Amino acid sequence: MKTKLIAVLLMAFASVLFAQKYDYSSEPGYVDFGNLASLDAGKSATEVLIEKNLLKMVAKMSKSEEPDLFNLLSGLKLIKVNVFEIDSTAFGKAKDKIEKLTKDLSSSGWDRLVKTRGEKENASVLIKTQGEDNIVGLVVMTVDKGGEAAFVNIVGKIDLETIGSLSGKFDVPGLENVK
Amino acid sequence: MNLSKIKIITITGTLLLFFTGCINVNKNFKEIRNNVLSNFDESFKKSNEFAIGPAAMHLASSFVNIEENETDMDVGLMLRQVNKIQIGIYERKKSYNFESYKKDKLKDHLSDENWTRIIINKEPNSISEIFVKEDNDEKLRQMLVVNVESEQIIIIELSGDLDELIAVALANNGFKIAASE
Repeated sequence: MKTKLIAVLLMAFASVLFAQKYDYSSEPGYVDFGNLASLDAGKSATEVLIEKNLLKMVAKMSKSEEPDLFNLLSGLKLIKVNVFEIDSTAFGKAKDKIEKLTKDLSSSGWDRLVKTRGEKENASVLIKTQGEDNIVGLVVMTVDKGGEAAFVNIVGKIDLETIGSLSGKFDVPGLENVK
Repeated sequence: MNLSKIKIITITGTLLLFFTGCINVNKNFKEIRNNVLSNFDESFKKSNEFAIGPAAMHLASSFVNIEENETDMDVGLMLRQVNKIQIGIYERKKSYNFESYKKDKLKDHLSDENWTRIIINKEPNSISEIFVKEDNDEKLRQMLVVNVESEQIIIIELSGDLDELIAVALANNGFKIAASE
């Protein structure tokens, strides 16, 4: 009886363990953009969150025709994209948000690759490295007065030379700023 | 053929359709529906629910395969990977404040049932959310689409081997998939 009880408890414990979802917030390259609700001014807003299992599947499909893309996608763990269609009021809020996030990330070990400031457009690209050559996180934040703000976080093993291909292939906004 | 034989064939055919899930939604879908609608203070009523089961899906994929061009053959292949589609349409019962929709409420609720949201797209008069669920082998077996408008909610559940289907959708449409019509 005691053996059976232990077996049942072990199975229950194992099933709970198995069922636990992976916590990406523990990844060094993960960024929580915080509350972006102020940018959501009633126009369109899209949030996309693609985790590693689905990324692996997409990678498999490009293996034969686009091996560089396959290699890139195979190393990724998470792609998180928030895109907002904004008006002029939200443009100011988005600029402030990007400034604040850039400052916070820079002070917590992220390296800034690109910073563009203009009347009509702001962009900020940061990377998180581990060791000498390993890039484990990428953040791209852009806003343009023409009406769109984008916040992108990519987690995993990142190759800066090929990451830009996600822009053309998958319409991930802002990656054209990564060169 | 006499009348009794016709009756037997009709009843058998109808029962087969029911048992293969070709008409009615199943208990699992009803649970999902209840979960989704509970996020809206039950201000929606059932308008229509139906299912397209394995037999009908197989038939559809057979028709598509008759076509010769590559795109249709891909569609046929994808249709064969879907075992079942269940659809529910629910109309507003009393006035619903669309602006009160909380972006992550449904996501948090469904995550308790191991659904992962991959896309949410919000327009001024509608919201669409797409969820996926994996099995123990980390294969995508279910996809749920919830479309909320002022007048109605539509819930669509797909079951089958969905990895390739979703991967093709992402590869072809990119991350603007939710914004595409």
